[in-house]
Amino acid sequence: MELVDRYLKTVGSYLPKEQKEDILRELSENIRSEIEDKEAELGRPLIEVEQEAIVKRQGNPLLVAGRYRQEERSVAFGREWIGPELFPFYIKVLSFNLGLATMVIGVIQIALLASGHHLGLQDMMWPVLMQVLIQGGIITAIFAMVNIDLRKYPDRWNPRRPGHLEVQLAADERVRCESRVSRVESIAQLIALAVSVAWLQAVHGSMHTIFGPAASVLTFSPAWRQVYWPVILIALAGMIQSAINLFHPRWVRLRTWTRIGMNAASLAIVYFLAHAHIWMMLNVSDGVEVSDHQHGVAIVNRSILGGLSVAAVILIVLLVLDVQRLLQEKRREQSSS
Amino acid sequence: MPAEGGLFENLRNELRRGSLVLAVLTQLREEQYGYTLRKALAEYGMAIDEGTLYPLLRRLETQGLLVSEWREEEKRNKRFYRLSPEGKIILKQLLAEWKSIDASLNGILKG
Repeated sequence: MELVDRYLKTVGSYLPKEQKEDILRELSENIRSEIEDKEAELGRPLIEVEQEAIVKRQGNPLLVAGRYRQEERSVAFGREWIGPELFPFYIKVLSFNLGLATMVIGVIQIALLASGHHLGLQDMMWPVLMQVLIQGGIITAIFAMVNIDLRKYPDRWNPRRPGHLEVQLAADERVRCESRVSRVESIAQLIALAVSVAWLQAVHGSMHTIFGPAASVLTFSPAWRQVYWPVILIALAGMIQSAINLFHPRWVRLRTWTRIGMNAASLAIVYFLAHAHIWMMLNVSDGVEVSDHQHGVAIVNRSILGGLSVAAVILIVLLVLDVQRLLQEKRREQSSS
Repeated sequence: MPAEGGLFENLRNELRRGSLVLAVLTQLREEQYGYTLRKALAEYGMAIDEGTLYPLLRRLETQGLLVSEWREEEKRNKRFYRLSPEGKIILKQLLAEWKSIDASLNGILKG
């Protein structure tokens, strides 16, 4: 019954907490009744492929959970962009990303205000608006693509790996559990990284993109300039990998190794940055009164140190997960051969 | 012709959606749990995916047309659904509407 448990766990992960237990209990009973019924009909326990067929018939976990949520909100401009099943996740990701960006900008602006710098409403809103346009655009585009894929191929999911939005091989092909990198994932990664590179270049060219009017007071320390090209190269490596996987979805190892490489390189960059101690400086060239803003810059630098620590923890976790995945793939290969 | 096939499929699904609610409500004049209801509908030629039926039952219950309770049957706890008093009234109205549509359509087809 491992397949059923895995399926229920995946559906549960998309359900609201207050309904989760009750819905899963009912769903579990229905699936088990169906399995028992089939076993009684055949006079023997079901083999794994038969269990898989029953689980598959329950439907794509994301879509099924979406129907239980009875969500009716969606994003549509003439045609549907993000359907009701994806809408709660879209809002969650959007609020998280925009919330984080607004928090960073907020800390910078509070630090500036605390140091006596005058900021008008327009000055404060401009960087936030930029983030809404850039991040909102990227996230909406990615979710719209996932939505297209879900609508076009609702049955393309693997009962053995129900949590993965990946292209499902037909059961009758009898190709067992051969992993593929989903096209949606490759396209989403390609777009996200391309937009990130464009955004980094925009920030590199004009700091108004992230600091707004505070750019006349603040500037990056030389440490950032030293890591700029390595960061671009890491993003390009990710783009090349996703472009290759778009045409060769079975090259799963390429994705795992590239991710390990990207995360290890990012960790090295975070380590390097953490040792710089100063990340933001006063833009003295614009004739700014240094003593007025030193307190504000100190607050910004403390916040960046916190951010770097969080980034290091996340990268370490991702690295461990990727190495684990690689070892699992190796073990699976060894056991099948 | 895949485009026409897709269009037919969409229209057929639309046609079935309304009839399905009617079939579920009619079938639940007698108490049943999810899996047996699905089997019963399939036997009458109204096959429906589990992933569509089970959430539909919840929606109809939220709308007050069904009531449910957990009860033990064959040593297992199952959630049984049946029509609520309000569901009975709505079903009666829907069946009258169905018969009227059926009569109109037959008239159109003959005319």
